[in-house]
Amino acid sequence: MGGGMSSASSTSGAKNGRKMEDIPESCIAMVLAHLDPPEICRLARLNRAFRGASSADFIWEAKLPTNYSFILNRITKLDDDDDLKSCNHSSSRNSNEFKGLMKKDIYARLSRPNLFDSDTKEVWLDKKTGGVCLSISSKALSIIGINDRRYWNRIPTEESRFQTIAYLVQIWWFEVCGELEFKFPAGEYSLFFRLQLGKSSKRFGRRTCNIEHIHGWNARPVRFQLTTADGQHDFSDYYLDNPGSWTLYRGGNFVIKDPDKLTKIKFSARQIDCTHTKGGLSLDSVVILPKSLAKKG
Amino acid sequence: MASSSSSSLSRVVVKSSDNNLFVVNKKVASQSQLLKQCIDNMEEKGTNDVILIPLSNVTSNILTLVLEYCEKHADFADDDNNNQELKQWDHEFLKKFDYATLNSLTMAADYMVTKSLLNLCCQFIADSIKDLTVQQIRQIFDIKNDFTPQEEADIKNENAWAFR
Repeated sequence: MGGGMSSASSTSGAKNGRKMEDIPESCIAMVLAHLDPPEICRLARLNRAFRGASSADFIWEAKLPTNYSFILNRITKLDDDDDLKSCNHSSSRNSNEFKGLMKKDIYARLSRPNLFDSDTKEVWLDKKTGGVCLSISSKALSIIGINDRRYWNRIPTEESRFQTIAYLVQIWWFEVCGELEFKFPAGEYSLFFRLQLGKSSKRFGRRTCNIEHIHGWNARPVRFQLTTADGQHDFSDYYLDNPGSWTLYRGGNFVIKDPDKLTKIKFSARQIDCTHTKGGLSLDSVVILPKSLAKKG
Repeated sequence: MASSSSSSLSRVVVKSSDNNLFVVNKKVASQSQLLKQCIDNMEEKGTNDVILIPLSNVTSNILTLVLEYCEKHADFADDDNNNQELKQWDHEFLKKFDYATLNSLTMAADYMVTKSLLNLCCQFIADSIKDLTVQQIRQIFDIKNDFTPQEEADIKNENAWAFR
């Protein structure tokens, strides 16, 4: 574009050129529809017409993931306990929270972390792509030995989205499992375990990491794996490393073909060679991202 | 062009806002839903006369461009939008214009309901502004900042989520 004007266009342009201001808001909205959400929001600052155009529902409807009403349902659903306490009236008011909202506001709301399932899981949209991302707290995972304080402790920390992690002091049988039932937009996803060797804490405002319990991880790799109810299976073996920094270990990829179907995913991390103990491991969460985002890191 | 059957119109005359007349083949004119609707209406009435369609919003220069686009696209099937030759042609076609012409063309495509051209123009404008700063876009497109300071603050607030 910037190359300047050809003689043909400069004559027609000078004579018939319209300013951007003359263009109807609906056309501006069509231009904006070709941009990604942060760009649309940036261009809303141009003038009133752009601001108006930038909230057109048709733009944001197309940016929202196909399953957005499912997500809205999940994040507004009351927990079972609350359901018993409250009458139908208040629970329906809760799910109506989004009724009057414009699609842009729904997108904005969904692109920040939204807790669900008794605050043990979070779902959010990648702002740029609208890709659906999920995080599952250690609180929602079943961890062998979690109730025995000689093996596992739950530790509060700001380093987790969920303000708490599970810390393994030592154990012979290391096994962490979980499952999730969710409707995903079609596409390919990657599942990760967010782990750290060592126990971090804050002392005098500085982050420190206690590495005294770390042992037993270099004898055998940990197997991370996932299976889906429709028969997909994937796994990876990793030797845990990087003491003192949170690391995402890929458990595998899965493909969603039918966005209207609930998909059940089971996942686990396991190192059950009982000839030696292992320990000094912080377990935060399981993270699911669209594969295209996962690649970028 | 093959001669059309005698029972329907084979061409129409389109008049630009500056009163120039353009004779347009029906197949070409049908690329515009506005012109197509006019033709369909006349054919339903059973008129065999050549009809005149005035376009009060489109100048000769811009109409020439729209018709150039329609002529090219009339040679391809409706579902042929992924044709590489056509795509290449579209790109070369739009590349020639300055922003003012592009704006006029966008508005003409909107007015004449030529959806593929409208979409093409919007994509082209979007591609060319997405790497520019707000100041640069205002300058190039001659867009005046018509916000009050209060409104500017509001916009910053309502869109803050996108930049966090």
